[in-house]
Amino acid sequence: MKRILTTFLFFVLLILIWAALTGDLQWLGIGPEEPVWNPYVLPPPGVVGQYLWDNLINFKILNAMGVTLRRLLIGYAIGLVLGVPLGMLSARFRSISDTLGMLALGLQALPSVCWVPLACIWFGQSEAALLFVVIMGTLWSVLLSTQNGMKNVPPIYARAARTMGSSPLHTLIFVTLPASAPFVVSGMKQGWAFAWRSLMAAEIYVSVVGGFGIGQYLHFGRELQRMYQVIGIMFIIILVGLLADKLLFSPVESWLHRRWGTDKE
Amino acid sequence: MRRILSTLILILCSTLVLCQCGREDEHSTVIRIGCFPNVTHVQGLVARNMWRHKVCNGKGWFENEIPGYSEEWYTFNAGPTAMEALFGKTVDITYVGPSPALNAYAVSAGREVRLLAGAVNGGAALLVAKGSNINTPADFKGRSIATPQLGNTQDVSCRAWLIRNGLSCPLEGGGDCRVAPTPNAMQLQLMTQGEIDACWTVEPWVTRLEKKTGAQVLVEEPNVVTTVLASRVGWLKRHPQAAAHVIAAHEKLTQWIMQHPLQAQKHVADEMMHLTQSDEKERAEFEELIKNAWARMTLTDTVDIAGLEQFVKDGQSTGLLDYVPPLQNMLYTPAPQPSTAAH
Repeated sequence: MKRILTTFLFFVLLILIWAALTGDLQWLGIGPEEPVWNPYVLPPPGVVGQYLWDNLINFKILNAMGVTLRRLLIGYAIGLVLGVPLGMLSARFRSISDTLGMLALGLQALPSVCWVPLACIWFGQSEAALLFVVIMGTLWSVLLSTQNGMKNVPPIYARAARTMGSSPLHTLIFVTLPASAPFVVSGMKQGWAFAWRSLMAAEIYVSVVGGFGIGQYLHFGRELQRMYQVIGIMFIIILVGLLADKLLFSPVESWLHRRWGTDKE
Repeated sequence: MRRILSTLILILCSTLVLCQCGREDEHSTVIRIGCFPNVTHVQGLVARNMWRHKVCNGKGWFENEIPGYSEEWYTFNAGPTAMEALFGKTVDITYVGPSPALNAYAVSAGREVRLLAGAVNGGAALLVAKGSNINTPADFKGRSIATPQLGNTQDVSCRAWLIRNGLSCPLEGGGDCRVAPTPNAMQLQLMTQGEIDACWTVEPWVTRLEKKTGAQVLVEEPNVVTTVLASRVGWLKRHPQAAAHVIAAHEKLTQWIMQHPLQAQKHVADEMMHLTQSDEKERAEFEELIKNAWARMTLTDTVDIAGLEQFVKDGQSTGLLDYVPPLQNMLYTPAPQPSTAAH
């Protein structure tokens, strides 16, 4: 409880400093007479709050969040569906590890926003282009972490299973895969982070697509010099990222740690 | 407690550092000027080319006309980016379209941007792709139109024209037709691929689309303001004399270009080739393109206030512009020179 309170107070303090420096606390006599930054350079929190409120109640931001999350989930799901089996194959067969594994290693080093120019030519300025960028962000990191996870499972597990009459497929599904789960899940989490970042970059970069995502709102805020919109959307992006982490991955991770006895408590 | 204290000190220090970062060198005698690689920025391109080749007594046009100052050039794709640079104090003056300048003026509540002079009228057009069967505004239903950048002059003109003709084109999509902000350089390719059905852009891109894709001009507004010379208040306050010289130099340059169109076209072609990193083999093609584009625009040095007021109405009708303070305050009047004041 004390920790939550400290965190909460810290954020309140940050917002108060921001408000004081940008002239929002003038009526209380706090802060410099002239705002340190002009409102079009750093808008006061009140203006940002007003923008968020107006655009939340007219559903514009919620619609944009829907569009962005749809792109993210579809791209991420495709990345997982391709990445996990390919990672398993890569762990099992040396030839695949030497070819596809190496390719993944190389492409993982490439920020996936670098794919945007090619994606725009290959798929047009469409949803498919954005999905492609998200998949490129997810696929390689999931593939590599699945491969690493599988390789890190002690061979004794598989041998023990086999002496008890387990078939290779049975061993893979019921022994190796669960044992590598913590690695795979952390790979999935990393893939999610990559997908989220690459989607935001792609949405800011490519403005000509069917739906209007929150990255595009941020970009349009920049084009129209509406910094309150840029900061408001940044808050939304942080919120979505945090919620995904807390609601999606944290429960799975803590369950896995409990299941494998690797939790701290 | 110590942790909280150290965090606070850290925040304070970073704030101070950030405050300092935004400050410019107040005594700098370098004038940083912006322009776009568009023929409608003819004064900018000619001056930039002269500066690169040092053809005016071993100097650029502006530095030759402004004693004690030197010039430096920056290039932008479209107005919103140029205004961002003006706000960020990376440029002091810039050639820009009227809509972004008005938007920046409105956003800063009339405190930051001033217009020094007019530059070019006309030179923008709405082109429809070959075979798109678009002949009337109603034919745009369900079609896509490219503009150079959201909130730039052609983007605002395009949206306002569609609205005047009863078609909706909301920013978020889902209206009668789609206005797709696309960099000038990408428009040709997208039109060839059939991704866009029309394009509202400026010269030389208008002529380029006509020649290379067979696109046809549907709307042309030859008297509409396309380019103005804008500056930021901070610089104007610190350098009032240089500002007066800049305006005079710009007027003189405009006159020179009108009197020497062929020479000016060569400067523009050379500069555009340099900015687009084109091959020497393409020079003839560039010169031909610019010669054709030249006919569509008129040079000027006066600011057309009535024209700007139309842009304010257009911007407000499209929702891209909110309240705009009185435009008279946006015009910069140079302070009397010390020698004149003495008389």
